Amino acid sequence: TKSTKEELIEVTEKVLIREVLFIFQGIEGKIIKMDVNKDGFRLDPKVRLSLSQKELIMKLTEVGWLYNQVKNFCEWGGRGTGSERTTDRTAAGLVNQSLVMALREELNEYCRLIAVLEAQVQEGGDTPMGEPMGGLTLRRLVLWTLGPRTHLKALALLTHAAREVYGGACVSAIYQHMHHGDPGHRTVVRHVLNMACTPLYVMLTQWLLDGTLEDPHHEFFIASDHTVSDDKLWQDKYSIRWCMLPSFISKSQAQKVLASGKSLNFLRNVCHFRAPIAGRDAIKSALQQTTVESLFTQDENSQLDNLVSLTFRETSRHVLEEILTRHKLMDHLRALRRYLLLGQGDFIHYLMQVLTPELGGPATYLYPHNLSSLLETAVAASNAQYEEPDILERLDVRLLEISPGDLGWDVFSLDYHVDGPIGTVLTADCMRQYLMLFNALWKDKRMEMILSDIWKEQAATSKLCRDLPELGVVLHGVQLLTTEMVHLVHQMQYYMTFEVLECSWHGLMTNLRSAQSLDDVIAAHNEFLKRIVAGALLDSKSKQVRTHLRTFYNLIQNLRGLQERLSLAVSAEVNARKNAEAEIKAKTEAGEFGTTAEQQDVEKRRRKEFLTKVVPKLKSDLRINTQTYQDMVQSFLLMLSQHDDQNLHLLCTRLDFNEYYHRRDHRLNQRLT
Amino acid sequence: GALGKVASTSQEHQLIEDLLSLMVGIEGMYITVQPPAKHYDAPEFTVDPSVEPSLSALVSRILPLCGHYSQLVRFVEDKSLYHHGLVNQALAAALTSLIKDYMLLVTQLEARHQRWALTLHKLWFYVEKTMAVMDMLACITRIITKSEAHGGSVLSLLHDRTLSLTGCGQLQEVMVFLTQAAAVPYMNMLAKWLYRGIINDPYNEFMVVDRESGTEENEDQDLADDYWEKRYTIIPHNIPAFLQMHADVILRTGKYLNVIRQSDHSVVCPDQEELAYSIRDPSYTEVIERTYSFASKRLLELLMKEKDLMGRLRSVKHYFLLDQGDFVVQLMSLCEDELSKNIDDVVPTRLESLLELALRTSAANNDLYKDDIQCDLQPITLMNQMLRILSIETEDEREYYPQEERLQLSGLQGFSLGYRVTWPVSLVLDRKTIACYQMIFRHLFYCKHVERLLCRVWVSNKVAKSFPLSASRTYTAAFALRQRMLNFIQNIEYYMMFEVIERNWQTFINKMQKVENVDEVLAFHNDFLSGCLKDCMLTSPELLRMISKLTGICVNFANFIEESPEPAATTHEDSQSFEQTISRFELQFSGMIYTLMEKISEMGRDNYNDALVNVIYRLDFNAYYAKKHEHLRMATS
Repeated sequence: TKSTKEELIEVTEKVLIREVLFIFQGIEGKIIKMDVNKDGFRLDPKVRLSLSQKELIMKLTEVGWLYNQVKNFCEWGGRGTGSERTTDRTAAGLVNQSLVMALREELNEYCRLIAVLEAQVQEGGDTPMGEPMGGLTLRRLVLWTLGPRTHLKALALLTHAAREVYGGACVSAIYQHMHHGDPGHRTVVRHVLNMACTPLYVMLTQWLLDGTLEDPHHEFFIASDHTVSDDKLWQDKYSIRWCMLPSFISKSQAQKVLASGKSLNFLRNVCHFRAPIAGRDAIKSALQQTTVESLFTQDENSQLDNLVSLTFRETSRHVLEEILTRHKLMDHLRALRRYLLLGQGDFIHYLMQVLTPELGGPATYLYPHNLSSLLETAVAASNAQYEEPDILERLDVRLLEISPGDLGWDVFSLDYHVDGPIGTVLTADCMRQYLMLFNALWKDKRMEMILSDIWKEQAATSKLCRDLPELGVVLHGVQLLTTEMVHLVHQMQYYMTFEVLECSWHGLMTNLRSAQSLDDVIAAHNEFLKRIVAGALLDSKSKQVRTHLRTFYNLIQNLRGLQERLSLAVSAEVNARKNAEAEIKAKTEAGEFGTTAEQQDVEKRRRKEFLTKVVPKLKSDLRINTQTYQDMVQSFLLMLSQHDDQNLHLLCTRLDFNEYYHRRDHRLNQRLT
Repeated sequence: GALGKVASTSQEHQLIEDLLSLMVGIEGMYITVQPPAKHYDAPEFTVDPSVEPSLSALVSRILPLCGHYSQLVRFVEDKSLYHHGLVNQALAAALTSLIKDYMLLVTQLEARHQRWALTLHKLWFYVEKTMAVMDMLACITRIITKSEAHGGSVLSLLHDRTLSLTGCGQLQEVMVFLTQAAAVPYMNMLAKWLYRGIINDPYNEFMVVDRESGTEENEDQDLADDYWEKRYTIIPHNIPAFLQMHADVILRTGKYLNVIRQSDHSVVCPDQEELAYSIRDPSYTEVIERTYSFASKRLLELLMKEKDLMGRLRSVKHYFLLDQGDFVVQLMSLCEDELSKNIDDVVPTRLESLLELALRTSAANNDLYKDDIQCDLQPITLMNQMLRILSIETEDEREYYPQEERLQLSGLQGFSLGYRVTWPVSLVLDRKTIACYQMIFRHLFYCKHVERLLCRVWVSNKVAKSFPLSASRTYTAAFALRQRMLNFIQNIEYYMMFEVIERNWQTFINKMQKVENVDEVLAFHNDFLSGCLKDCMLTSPELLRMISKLTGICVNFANFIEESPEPAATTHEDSQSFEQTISRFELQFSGMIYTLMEKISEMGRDNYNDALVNVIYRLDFNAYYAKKHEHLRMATS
């Protein structure tokens, strides 16, 4: 059955087997050559082989090809070809290194098998026919390599997946191959994954236990920014590197991990907490129960989840305790509410009173030290004196930026100094908002005070006016207008105190009570501020309403002017009349004529002038004031009722309780269902 | 050259050589292979025609084995790819181990052959037993490939085949081995689902599918509504045949676990054990039952104890079913002015604060859940709402759409309460259920309102005592009619409140004391509501229309009386026209009430167990209408 073509070389099966064994290790032989173009092997055409032999050999070379794939990856890290290739393993990152370690282990196992096969070939020896006796045949090799082949195939798939990725992303890529029905395949992947995850696991445990981050190649899913200073540690220093988050760790877990380590760093660097942190034993024992494997077998056991939640809970509790008890966050919040949000009525009232003379002048004449001594007076005269000294120390006066023409009222502000750990909750941005709120509330308060001053003066004027019935109409008009304004100011005040401040404060307290971590506290406080700022019409949505309110304040100022003029006119007139009468009386008593025609003439002229000039002027002023005020209120109500905030609708209803403006303007009757 | 030219022993030797090659999938020299038309069929073989015919016949008997082998190898190679799913991969792995045994046999034969100790007869003898197994395997793989089966359906196929081989000894054992191996990934998934409520199913093989997977974060809000029905669903073709009867229980177990996990992540079913397929003594049945009872008990506990479901329901009953009398009266007196406006003029914020006032000034103040109550104005009458619901998907649907209705709808007609519920109570009180409560509420509320109107008429009529005697005659008819109307409306209310709602509530409470799982809770609650709806005549358009007409007449009558002037200021003509109007009202009212009673008794004839029939005895307790009706009929006939 042998062909007689001369140029063909005959080979025994034993030679072939030797060649194949070399091929198994990726080394080309005399007969079987590497084919670079096709990325595979080819047979030397000069060698004579039967068809079945050729097919068998080609089938076996696949194993060699797979081996080469894995080996290349181990050597080059799958980093492409040519110049990009690097032999420096450390540059590829820890995960990649340990992945290669795992692969090498597997390959070692494979080489042992090859060695065993080789030994069999040696023992077998040749039969006279050139066929091996009891040793290996090509067919037998197919059987023996059946197992290693699937094994290598799995490894080759992994190397394929791990190409061009590193760190957490690499682990995710490998993890995808875990979902395979073949138990053998799973074991291989599991083993490799186990090794590859080890560096990440070590990083994770260190981070959870000590808050240290040793990650030279940026492979871990927590990133730290060294340029950020300690006072912004909580907000900005640490972040999650999402692309490095292994797919088997959920986002919420990643966030918990981040918060745990961050809390530790926060305790150390910001709170300067030196003592060993309590409750670590429980965490350590939980840690002992976890293995590298529990990282990626979360659907089978909850060890990792337990560990992460436990650490998160414990460290967060610790941080909260630190912030709430040692650094007394609640006291500071309460103080802010009392002083910056005008919660302490007697103090604010007194402060305003003592400041009035100072602040009435131009802003450039103000001196902070004067003001702060006044502040101290106010503290000493009110219940604020029983406050903790620490808190009082932080309370201070601050002058805002002065622009030309500003009065003292425009630039004055209270301030509250925060630093250290509580500065993490009460950030500079928060304090800015507090100042803004103080400004608005202070202004509201001042308007209330002006109105009450007006009212007081009116009481005096109305007594005088009993002798001047001509002015009765004007006086009544002014009183009506004042009452309307008082109503509006009071309703606004009510709205601010109860609907906004009290409700938001209540919300803040409930949230704080249920807070589990510092993040919750910060979020609750931010929410609180946001609600108040929105409620005080200081956010961007209510800009228009705010400006409107400002015109209302101008109207109050106008009313004060009017009231002053009125009382001046009244007192001048009353005095003039009194003088005239007194003169008459004095003259009569002296036995003279009480008055002369000339004097009477003067008196009459004066009165006439009062009636024709002063009174109409006041009347028209009043009319203008009333008209503008009512127009203002009307558009104000319209704005409120079109606002998104439900509470403002309620305020609108309350301001217009008797539906006076409702009837004037039909736009207020919009469909509400 | 042709093989026929050599001696038959050499022919035999060469054929055996070729056969051994073919048995491991390599083409021989004298036996050639044609690939099959369909990839899952066996290839065809051609033996060199010059071979001795008897040898050729023997060879062709062995050849199917080679075909089976190549089929199996193709199946394994193909199904090990990722997208074919875990079950197929596991099956492929199991097959590989069988193929390994087979290859061992081949190499043993080869060794014999090398020693010249093998003849075709011997070969046939050695492979005959393997042939049956390989034939069966090839057959099953062909079926799987042909049907492109995936996941659970592969297991069904395997299971059916295993069952059909009962009594075939070794063959069945092989099949059991295969099925067991293939079921491992599936059983793991099942275990995760049963013990933890997790679905980790990258290739869509599992019988339950999670429609909302991926949105893990927003767990608290808004998933209540269709959650129970829609989030987890069964994929029928992925249920393995041996789990078919447990499918429903399995689905519910995982669902319960998921609900529990949303409030407490650490819940895991205790004593977990591996689940494995088995044909004789299925241990998984017991596990399924046990996990189910664990999950349902735990969820029930969560709902009843931690979330105080009964307290919630009681509170809902207080408000929606007018159980809390003082609150209702308070609410009505406070809101009457606001609600008698047109619905577009009602200010919701004002209504809201009035509602709050009513809540806080009545005994409802002690209710824990009072803050969850809110106002809800609906721009459609109850009647039209009901009709629309009842006519959904019928031809009449279009007809009931309100055109100009909104314009004349008063606040009272559109007023309703709303209720905020949090997860997981919203499982029971979902939007649909709340809507049912709202409908009952609106009905009761309106009746109450009509009663108040009539009572007010009664109060204002008290001054009639001071009227001159002549006037009192004018008023007699009006007063009598008012009394009848009051009687009607109060009895209808009494019937609804006590005979319907209270009775159904008691049955519901009794059932709830013995409740065992959440599905029962849902079912009982549903029964309760639908019972109430039906017996309050809300589900029958005809009855509802009559009731609403009757109340309409009452309202018109009350308004008329309120507006009519004092008798002292009236002339003779006035009082005459007054009497006429009253008698017109009388006629309308009596006519309507006859038709209503007739309709009810007609319905009672069909189903005399209905509580509804009681209404007749209550409305007509002294047979007044019956007698009068008799008169009327006599007169007309």
